[in-house]
Amino acid sequence: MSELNNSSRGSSLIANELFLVFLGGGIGSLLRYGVGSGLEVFLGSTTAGVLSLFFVNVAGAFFLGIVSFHPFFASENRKSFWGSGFAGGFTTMSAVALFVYQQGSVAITSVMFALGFFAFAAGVALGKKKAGLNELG
Amino acid sequence: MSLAEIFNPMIILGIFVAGGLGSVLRVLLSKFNGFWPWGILLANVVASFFAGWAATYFKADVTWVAILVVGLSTFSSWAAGAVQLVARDRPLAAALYTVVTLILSSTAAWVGLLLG
Repeated sequence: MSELNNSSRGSSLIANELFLVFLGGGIGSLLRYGVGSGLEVFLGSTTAGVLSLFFVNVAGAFFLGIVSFHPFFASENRKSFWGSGFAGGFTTMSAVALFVYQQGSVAITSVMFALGFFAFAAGVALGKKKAGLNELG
Repeated sequence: MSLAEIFNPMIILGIFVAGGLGSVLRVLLSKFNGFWPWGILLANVVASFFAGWAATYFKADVTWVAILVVGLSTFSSWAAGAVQLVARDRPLAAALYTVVTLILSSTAAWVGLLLG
C-alpha cells in the first residue's frame, strides 16, 4: 500500500524520524540529568554544575562528530536518533547561558567552546577514518 | 539534591517527555539554515530565555529548570555548525556565529532571570 502512495509514505518517514528524535532527545536529556545529579551527590552543587556542563557538552560534541560520518550511523533513522536526538538532548546551551550570568566566568565558557569545537572535529576525523577503512575492506 | 528527589518518577518522566519534545522542536527549527545555522541559534536563544525565566520563577529550583528547557537548546549542534563553517573556508563566520550565540544566549538568560 505505502509503495503506491509516495506522498503519504514520505510524510510517514518524516514522522518516523521525528519520533526517533523524540526518543533520542528524551534519553539524552535523562542521561544529562543523570550525569548532573550523580556528580552533584558526590561533589556538591557548584563544582558538579561546572564539571557536568563541561562533560556533557564536550562529550556530546565529540559523539555528534562521530555520528555525522561513521558508517554505523549512515542511515537517516540512526542519525535522527543518535545525532539530532541523543547528542542534541544530551548537550545544552541554555545551561551555559545561565552559568555565564549566575556564577561563571567568560574564561571557563570560552575554554568549553574551544574544547567542544575540537571535540566535534576529532569525532568527525574518527568517523571519517572508520568510513575510509570500511570502503577499503 | 537527595537520591529520592533524583529518582522521583514524575521528574524522570517530565525530563524524558520535555527533552524529547524540545529535541523535535529543535530539529524542525534547524531546517532554517543558511549563511549561519539560524534555526539552531534561535532554539538556543529561546531556550536560554526560558531557562533564565524558570530559574527565577521556580526560585532557582534546578530540577524545574532542567525539566522545562532540556532538549530545546544544544551545544553539539553549535559545534557542528561552527566546524562546518570552518570546513567551508569561512572561519570568520564561524567565530562570529560562536560569539553571537554566546552573547545572545546569555542576554536572553539574563532577560529571563529579570522577568521570571
